[in-house]
Order: sequence, then structure tokens, then C-alpha cells
Amino acid sequence: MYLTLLNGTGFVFNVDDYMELRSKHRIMGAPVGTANTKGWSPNQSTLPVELSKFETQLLLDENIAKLVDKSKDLKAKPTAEKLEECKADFESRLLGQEEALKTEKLRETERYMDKILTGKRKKLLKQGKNDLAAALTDKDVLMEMSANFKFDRQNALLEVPCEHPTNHSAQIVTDPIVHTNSLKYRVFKDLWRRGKYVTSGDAFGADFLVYPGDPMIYHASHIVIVHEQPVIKPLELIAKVRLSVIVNKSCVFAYEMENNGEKIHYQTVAWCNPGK
Amino acid sequence: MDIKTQESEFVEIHPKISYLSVQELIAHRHTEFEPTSGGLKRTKNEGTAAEVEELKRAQEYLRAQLSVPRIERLGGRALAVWHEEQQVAEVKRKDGKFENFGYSEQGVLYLEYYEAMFLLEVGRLQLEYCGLVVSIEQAYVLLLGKLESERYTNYLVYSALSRSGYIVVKHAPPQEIPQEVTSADCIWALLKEKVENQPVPDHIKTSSFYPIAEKRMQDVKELITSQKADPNIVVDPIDLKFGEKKRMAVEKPIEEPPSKKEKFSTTGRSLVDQLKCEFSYAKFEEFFEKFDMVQLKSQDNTKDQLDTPSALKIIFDLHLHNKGFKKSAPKAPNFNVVILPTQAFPTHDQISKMKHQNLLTAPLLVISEVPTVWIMGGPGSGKGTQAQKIQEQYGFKHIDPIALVEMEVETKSPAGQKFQKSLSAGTAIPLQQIIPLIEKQLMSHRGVLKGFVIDGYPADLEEAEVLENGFGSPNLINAGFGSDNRKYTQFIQSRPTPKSINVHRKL
Repeated sequence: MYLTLLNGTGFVFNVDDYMELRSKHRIMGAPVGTANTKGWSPNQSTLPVELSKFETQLLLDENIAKLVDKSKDLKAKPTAEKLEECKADFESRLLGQEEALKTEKLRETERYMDKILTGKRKKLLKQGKNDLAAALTDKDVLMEMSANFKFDRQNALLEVPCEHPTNHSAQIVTDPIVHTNSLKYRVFKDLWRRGKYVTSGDAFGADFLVYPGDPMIYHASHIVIVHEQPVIKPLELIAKVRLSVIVNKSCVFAYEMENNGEKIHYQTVAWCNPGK
Repeated sequence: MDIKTQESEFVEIHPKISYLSVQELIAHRHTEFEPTSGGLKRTKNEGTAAEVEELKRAQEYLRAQLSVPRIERLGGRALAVWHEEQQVAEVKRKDGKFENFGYSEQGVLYLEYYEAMFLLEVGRLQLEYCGLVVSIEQAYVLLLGKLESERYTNYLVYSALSRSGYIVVKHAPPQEIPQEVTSADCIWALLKEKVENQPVPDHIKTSSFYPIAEKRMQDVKELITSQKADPNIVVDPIDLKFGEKKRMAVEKPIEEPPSKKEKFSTTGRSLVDQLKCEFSYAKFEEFFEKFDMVQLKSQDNTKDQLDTPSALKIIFDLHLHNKGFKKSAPKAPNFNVVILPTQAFPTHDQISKMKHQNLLTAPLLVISEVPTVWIMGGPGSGKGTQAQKIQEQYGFKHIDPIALVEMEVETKSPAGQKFQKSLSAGTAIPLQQIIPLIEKQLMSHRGVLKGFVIDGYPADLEEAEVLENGFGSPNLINAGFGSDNRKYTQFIQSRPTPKSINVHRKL
């Protein structure tokens, strides 16, 4: 699987790729595309999916995906020959729609046959052609429609595809995009390897959120705060723990001890109220 | 996508998808996606069959949401051509309502990158590059670029605000509009001439009010120097109504406070309060309200500082739909939008500098990268706006954990002795040591805990309300914008329309 390098991180433009990342590899990302639904609901977003830098790096480290830079090819001007070829292909795709669009038009006509028939009969009666009006059948209407159908290039349908649909080349990004030995990245990776669903903790002013399952149907169970030093100020402790209690989650501090290798420690803080 | 060559750093990419067939185009042309209500989320993963089923449905729904294609008639979209060098899209053909998009230059309509991207993604634009229709993926590469860039944030903000119903346009720097000279300006200019020997500016001299004001001032001056009473001026006699007050005191005896302490307290019984209902007080108040507040010349902004560009950049102007926006003759916008580049928070100085540089044309809407509610009193609220200070003042007012630690030290408990060491060494107390202590202390001081205000830290509307009451209505708006994993935008608008919009981008 290839991730496209954009905004300094990985983007996914294919729905199958994304569903695989999400259901098989527990990588959530965030859909950032603007959906083309009616009403422009601000809550709806669609592909592409932007992965966080940690998620992208993790996929690279685990050999699940490769990050590629497509800018060279997609920005390049096509040769005259290639341009000609693409344009011819484009035209043939448009013009090839004539038969199908005609069939579709006739199908639509059949669907609204009752209304069309009544309308046409009314018109004929107005002109005083009572015989013709009585003799008018479905077949006549379809014949007329079929004879009058004129294909206009402007009416051919065109899809703007999400993923780039033609063959192109790309350059593999080999350098890591985050410091792989930073504590935050190692905590992210460690939690992910333990089978958790890990997302950014921005919404709660923390580093990560840990879910027991896919965030679509589960609430986060833990708020993870990464501490570069294994110390905490009392005020900060109260603030962080208090918040996690209010939102019904457990507060976890992640840190590493000095002179203890690179082992990550987790400290979960429970808040109990014996008065209740 | 299949891997073909791996020998070099370059790979040939063969997309999994291909162009849709005619039948597919017709079938999916009107695909609509209805968002479902979703329902409550679960807190525990118990692996039951019901959960598996629910997850399956949620994934199918997500797949459907993400696979809505963008199909339209060839002639049904607007058409634009991307110019890589100028980084603009030139509009060749418009569609439908287009008045809120783009800018004209020498008769040609151009779209900014965010406008082109937005129209492309909502299916209203066919963008061409080198004569070929671009895919969404190619558009991202061309318009927004591979490097980490503010363009992505700008586009997300543009898209979210546009879909929320605002008209978002590129920020237009304020134009110098010659202010209309009022009668008051003439009087001030005259006063300055007489008192400070400052010459009257030409634009005031030409005002129609100027001769009138000059004449009036001359008249008053003559009156004063000749000491003749003008029969036209009637001075209202000030009646202090001593007798009335006495009677009132008899009619309404003031209740005796139960305690001696309260008796001597001045609340509600001060002489000043009583005088407030007097006629003379009302008259003075009326006069006082007519005074203009003259701002002192600011000392902290030298000319050099004002000439250097501000670190904060206004990106967009926001207009409301119902205010009759016209691109050709734009009115003053409803908001100026600043998108904070990193997690940095603008200081009071930065904001006031923007104001002094006359960059602002409307209240500021600040959108930050982290969904924290930035609480900002405008310049003139007289308070530092650094978030930390506000937290200290409003969030942790009653918290004194140091006292808790000190108490432990005093009792000379084993933990206390450890703290003593840390305290005397001037270092922070280790995490593991403090957790049991804090827990113990909090439990034994539950009564005290009620005084703690750590409410929904860090985002809390109540805090904003407290601030608003304390500092006066802020002329800045609070907003949050999440980066990283969850795209999350939140706007809390306090003025001028009491309406709040929540834009969450998360799945």
C-alpha cells in the first residue's frame, strides 16, 4: 500500500486502503476532504484521509505501507504525444456514453409514461385531433423519444476521481518523518502494539486517547499524558486527573525512568470518593 | 496499487481504480448519503455478537460515506485552469452562484487555491492542468503541496466556515477612509489651537461646521470677558430638598441590622447611595455621560515597532449571508480570521499592536491548532490575556497543594521527609511519591475540595462567561481547531450574533 506524501505526512485516497488500515491495522487517521453532499453539512467529511505523523511513521516501521512523493510526476507537463493520447481517451469515454444515455433516457420516459401520455393527449385534444389522441400509445411516445434523442457532448457524464486514475511514477520516502526515538512516538507505538486503538488526545488537552475498540462505536477509556521527566507538579496532577474523571476516563501518565533502559512506565491514577 | 519496481527509489504506481463505466456513472450519479443518527457509544469492549454486528454496520456506513463519487454532466460544472507558476486557478466558465468566489484582475476571474479546492471537492468545478482534468489527489499535490504547510489549515478553516454558512474571502487590508468632520472635531481643533497653540488642520477648516463652531466660541468668550448674563441661557436651580429628605427618613425607617458588625458596614446605606436619587446627581450623571473618553497616547508602541509586520497574520475576512455581501463593493467584514500557526498564543501586546497598526477591520476570530478555548479580552480590557494567568486567576484560585505538601512535611511522616529533601533541593516531587499523598489529602479534605475550580479543563465556557462579566464583552472570539489525528473545530461566538457553531471533524 502506498501513502501519498502531503502536508509532510501520509494521505490515503483509496477507500479500500483506508478501510484496511482502519479495521485491520487500527489506524484511524482523519478524513479531511470536503464532502459533496447537498446542504454542505459541516459535519461530513470524506476522502482523502490524513494520517498523523505518528501513524504514518508506524505504518512505515511495521512495513504495512510505503510513503511516496508523487509531486514530480503529477506536476510534470505531459509530452505532446501523451497529451494527445489522454485527450483521445477522454473524448472516447465521453462519446462512448451515447447509447447508454439514450437507454437511460428511454427508461426514464417509461417510468413517467402515465404523466407523459396524459399531457400529450391533452395537447392533441386542444388542437382538435381527437382521433390521434385516442390512438396514442406507449410505443408511439417511445418511438418519438428515440427518434428525437440527440446526444450532446455537454450532457456526457464526467467523474472527478479521488485517487489519481492513471499510471504514474512516485519516489519512495526513505527518511523517517518523526524522531523515532522520541518518547512520545515510542509511547504511541507501544500502546498500538498492545492492541489498542490510539488517537490524538488534542480534544482533551492530552497526548493520546486510548480506545478499547474502533472509536466509531466505543468511547475512549484512557487519557494518556506523556512526561519527558518522571516528575509532576501537584497542581498539574490534580488538573489532569480531575478532567479525566469528569469525562469518565482513566488518566494514565507515561514516562521512562532514568538509568532504566528505554522501558516505558505507565501510571494510572484512580480518583475515589469514599463519601459516596 | 501494486509494486512493480523496487530497484530504485522510484516506483511505478498502477491505481487499483479505473474510470467508471457508463453504467456505473448513470447508476451512481445521484448517490446521496444520509448521515445516520449514530446512537450511543459503548464504554467497554466485551466482544459480544451484538458489538461485532454493530461494528460491521458502522464500517459499512463509513465506507458508503467515503465512496460517494463526484459525477456531473460535462457542462454542469464551472471550468478553471490551474497556473502552477502564479498558484492561481483561472476561471474559464462559471456555474450558478459564483459571486462569493474568486477575484477579478483585468477582466479575468481567478480563484485562490482554497477556493478552487473547495469548489472541486463539492463537485462544482472541473479543474484542468496542462489540458487534462485533474483528480482530487493531483489537486492536493498541485494546490496544497507535499510539504507541511499552513495551506492545509487554511483550507480546512475555509471549508468548515464556508459550509457553516459564512462568506469567507481573502482578508482585505483596511483602506484609509477620510473621516467625516463633525462639529465636535471642529471644537476640539479650536480648543487645541487656543490652548496648545496647535494649528487647525486644513480638512477641519473646510468643514461647514467650522465657522459655526468658531462663531459660537467667540460668543462664549465675549460673554465670559464682558460678564454679562445672557438672557437665553437658563440655569436650572439646584434644589437640594433638605426638608424632603428628612420626611422620607421618618416615613421609611431603616431596619436595624441584627448584628453590630453589620450596623457599621456601609453596604446599601452609604451617604453616596442615598444621594444617587437626588435630582442634582441625575443631572451631573447626564452631563458626565456626554463626555468623550480621550485615550492617552500609547507609550509602548514606537514608530519602529509599528512598522515591523505583526507576527499574527489575518488570513480571511468573514461576512454573514444576511448582510448583503457584494464582492464588487465589500462592506466591512463581520470578523477578521487569524489562524495561529503553532500552539503559540498571541500576547496582549501582539493584539494591541495589531490594533494600533490599524490592521483590524472587524473583531478577531482566532482559530488555534488545539481545541482549547482561548479566552481573550480585547485591548482595553486592561488585563493580560495569557492563558496561564487566566487559569491561575479563575481556574485554580482556591487550590493550595503546596500547603498540603507542607503539612505533610510538618507532620514529619516518611513521605514528608522525602518531600523535605526535594523541597530543600528545589526540585519537583517525583510522580510516584505524590500520587498516594494527593489521594489521601484530597479524601480527607473533601470539604475543601468544593472550593476547587478545575472544571472541564482546558475548555470551559463558564470561564469565558466569568471573563466576559469581569472584563466586559470581549471583541475577540474563542475558537479551537484540532490538528493531528482528530480534525476538530469549534467556534464560540459571543458577539455580535449570539449563535454558536460546532464543527467536529472526527470519525
